Amino acid sequence: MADTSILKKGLCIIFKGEPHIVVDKTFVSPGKGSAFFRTRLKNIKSGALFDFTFKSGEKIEEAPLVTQEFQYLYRQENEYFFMNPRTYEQISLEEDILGNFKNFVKESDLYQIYTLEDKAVSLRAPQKVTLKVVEAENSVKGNTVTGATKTVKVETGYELQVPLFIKEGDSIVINTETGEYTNRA
Amino acid sequence: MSKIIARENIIDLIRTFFKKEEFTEVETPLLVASPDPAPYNEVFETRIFKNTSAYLAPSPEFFLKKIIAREKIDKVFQICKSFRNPEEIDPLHNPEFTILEWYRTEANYTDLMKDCEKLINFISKKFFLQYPISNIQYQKKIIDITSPWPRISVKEAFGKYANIDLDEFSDLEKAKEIAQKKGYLVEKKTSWEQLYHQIFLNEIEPKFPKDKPLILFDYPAQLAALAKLKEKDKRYTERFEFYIGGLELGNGYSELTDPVEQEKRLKADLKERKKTGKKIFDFDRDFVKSLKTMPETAGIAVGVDRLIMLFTDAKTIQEVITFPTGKIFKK
Repeated sequence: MADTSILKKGLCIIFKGEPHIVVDKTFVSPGKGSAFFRTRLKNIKSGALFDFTFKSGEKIEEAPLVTQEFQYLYRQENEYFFMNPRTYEQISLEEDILGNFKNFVKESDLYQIYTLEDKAVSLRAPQKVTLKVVEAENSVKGNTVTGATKTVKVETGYELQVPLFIKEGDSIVINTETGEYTNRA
Repeated sequence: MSKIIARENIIDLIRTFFKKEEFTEVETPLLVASPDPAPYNEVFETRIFKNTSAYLAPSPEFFLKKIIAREKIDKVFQICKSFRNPEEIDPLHNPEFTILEWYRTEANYTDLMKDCEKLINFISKKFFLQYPISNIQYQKKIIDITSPWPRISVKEAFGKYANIDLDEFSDLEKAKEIAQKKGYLVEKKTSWEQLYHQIFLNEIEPKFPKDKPLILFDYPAQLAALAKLKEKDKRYTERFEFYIGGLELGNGYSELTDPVEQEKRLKADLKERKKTGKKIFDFDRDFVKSLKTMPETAGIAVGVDRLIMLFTDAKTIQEVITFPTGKIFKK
């Protein structure tokens, strides 16, 4: 069985017999104490939130999830709505479940959604996404400092630092974990 | 105010406070041969003279006590960097951090509790320059820091918040039984310290009132560290920690001055380290020897970065450190 080393935001575990999604996780080491993981868990069935601290190395049971393909529709406040393109069934995920990936969801694109007994649990975020630059300042001519960057906005509204040669209309690859620029597509 | 300026101001105020109280500011080495073998802190190791092991000090404690014992200075303090090598970065720890330690002779842990109350009120008064001065706002909570602060013993806290009799819990088998009944995972390898902290972190610490500071005192003997056992009940030690706004800011005790008992504890710590695969080194024999001439002393360590968090309303330690370690090293 797996242990606390697999704990991360969005992971679905069986805790006290019920499926829970990990919405937050921090490492704690109390003064003169061993290591622990403080988590915030959300009961998938009841929606109830609570905190639990695991001993580092404690056994964790992963919930048996199924992935299904959904299309992203729109966002309403902190909820993100998706639709199953075959059945037209709609589901929603909360912003804190999406984590960093909220910056990269693009309308009408398809995403892998983890489900448990037909309930949406979280999104299986790809490590990289390719997005189009919609706003970019012109770089200053003659600025040849190595490593110089500028800010651009991509089609999902997210802003990031990129090398000076990136222009409006370019497609760029972004690491979804760090939110940083990887390369020009 | 920028966090850099706030840091400068707070460190200035700490110095002013201790000089006013007639403490002597001293320096101790950061590069040492025999660091504190506290079993859960991993140390940073480096090499000196090509292949002799050297370590970055996890605290200045041993050398400060050597000064007390040999130099006949009755009140000392130090502000310096300390190093602890963690498994992971978390919002309350930076592997390299600023520590404040002070020691006073002919004193016990209750004298230190009063020092803490005075120090925090002094900083608050000078740092905010406003009335009422006895309130700090931290993470949307107003904290009344007026002395005296509420005090609760660890035994009282376990009884009040977790409904556990700590006298009974102090036995490993009994502790396993109690924890299992409460629904915690108990395995053969589960240690007493793990169960103590798991219950403390789940059921006690979150329930501490946040509108005032809190002094938690008389830790179980298993968590004695370098504290003296209580005369009246050797299952507990004269050790305390203080919390403000949920932040654990300091850890102090009536110092253990018995060299024989000290050597026994250091050896036990080293044995525990060996078991858990931590770095092993010889214990500081010079420190043990120095205890022979050390008077009754009380000493405490306070996390300066966390103090700055409190006074600048920062949620994480990384916000108050100009170059946090996690930005320099990638996992």
